[in-house]
Amino acid sequence: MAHIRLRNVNVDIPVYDSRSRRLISKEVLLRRIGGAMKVDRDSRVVVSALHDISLDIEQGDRLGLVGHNGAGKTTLLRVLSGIYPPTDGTVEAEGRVAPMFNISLGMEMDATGYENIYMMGRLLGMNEKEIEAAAPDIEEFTELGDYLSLPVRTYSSGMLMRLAFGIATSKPAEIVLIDEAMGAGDAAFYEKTQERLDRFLSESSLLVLTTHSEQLIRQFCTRAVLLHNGKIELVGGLDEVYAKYGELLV
Amino acid sequence: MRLFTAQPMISAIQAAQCLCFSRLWATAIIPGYDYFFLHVQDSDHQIMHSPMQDISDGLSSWRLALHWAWMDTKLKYRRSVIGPLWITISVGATILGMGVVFSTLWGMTLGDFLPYICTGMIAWGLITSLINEGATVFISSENLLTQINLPATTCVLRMVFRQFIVFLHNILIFVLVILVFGANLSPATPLAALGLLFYLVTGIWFGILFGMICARFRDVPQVLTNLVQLTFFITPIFWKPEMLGERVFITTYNPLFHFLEVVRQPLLGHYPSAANWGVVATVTVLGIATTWLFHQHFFKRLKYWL
Repeated sequence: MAHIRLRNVNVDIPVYDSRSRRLISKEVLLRRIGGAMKVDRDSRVVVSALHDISLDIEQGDRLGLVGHNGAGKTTLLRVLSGIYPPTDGTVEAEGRVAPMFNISLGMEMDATGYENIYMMGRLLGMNEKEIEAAAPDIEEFTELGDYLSLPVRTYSSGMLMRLAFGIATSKPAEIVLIDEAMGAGDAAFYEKTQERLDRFLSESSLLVLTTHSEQLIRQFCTRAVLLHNGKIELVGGLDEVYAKYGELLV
Repeated sequence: MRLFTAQPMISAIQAAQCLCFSRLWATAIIPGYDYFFLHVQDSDHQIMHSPMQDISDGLSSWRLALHWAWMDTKLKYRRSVIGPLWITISVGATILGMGVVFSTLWGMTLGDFLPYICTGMIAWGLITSLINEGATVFISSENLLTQINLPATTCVLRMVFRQFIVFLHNILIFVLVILVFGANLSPATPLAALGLLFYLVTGIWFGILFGMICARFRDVPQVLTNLVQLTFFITPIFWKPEMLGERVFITTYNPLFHFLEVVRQPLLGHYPSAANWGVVATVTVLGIATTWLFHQHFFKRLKYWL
């Protein structure tokens, strides 16, 4: 059963800049826009990006992360994906994870469409056979035809996104983590790729999505987490969370 | 979670780990081992890359790294007519130019001197690129490391393989020199492969160790680049150690000289000295041990240093 369980997770991101000590005045420490800044025991400036997060995400969950800029949404997604090891606390997860944060990452502009399908497929953890099996499906979805034999630098940005999206959704994953439209631009892109995304998500057993678009959250999620200054403010139904989010904004 | 397709090697490594380490004493003596056990309940279904798993996953993804390195090389020269052969030509021209000038300066024949400087430059080129690129291996892979769940060790392998691909192109120059000036091959020649194996291993641990150090302290890559430039002149590449006379200690205490010799001497048909092998083996073993401890301790922080 796919799940992710976080227990008392803290993430402190140290600020490494030879001048940061002097720049951080008490004023800044009190202003608290993003995560709280503090000075750790080695007298380094750290941003407390996540503070004491305990969260159970179980099979079948469709979870939205809601919060203002700097609330810790992206950091939390990176912890969930295993990219960021937490400073304290434990992360326990089961299931193949597909982190869709920037789906065109790894794309080589001088390589052809086919070469990119192969390379990015390998990066997604597919073996040669799986890539071969997935290729016709990607060809069909992208409708790129002979373009796939040309270097991707000849593609329009729309064609690029379709290729990246086609590859990213070619292997089903139990845990799908999506950040801010995957770098895929706007809601219009979602509309065009709706069918494929729906299929991809229906094969997954757990989704965590972060976006500023309430519409997308309402479309894909059944539950939401409200993050505020790196802490969980509320976990609950969508209406409840958005009501509280509205209060925070005022 | 298994990011890469299962390779027999992973299970072999994990079986060995189970056999060799009981959790209790492993936790006591190996920093980070506790972390390893905390996060790896089931190797096929876990999310966090523990330090040890990053290395075993990374090493077992060598085929991906090799393919990637080859793509890097190919793409760099994709739109040029003779492609990666430009590597060979540019290094070849340098060797020819320096060969002509310095053989005249030292009063040697071109036939004596060119094979010497050719092998020296090729091996030195591999050493310096492993050092310089190893220093920035994680810095330049920042996007990959913070956005997809890729073992950091895969990035190191990719970089090391890329340097070896360049080296293979440069070997063509040596073949050309042999064809023109005649070969001085001997039973010692295959030992160059052993020397290169040391380069491979050292390239990997150096990349992991200094890749991490340089990610944290951004002045270190600059220091290394400058040191490498300096050592080019104090290492016998375009001159011979015996020319130093009584100051030959300058080479004796230079570990890079010994690394150079274990590849250069076999290619020239001579056996490297026992001191050469001794220093190279010692540096390799000490390097692996240091890297191991450092990696266990600090791997968790690597992503936050980027």
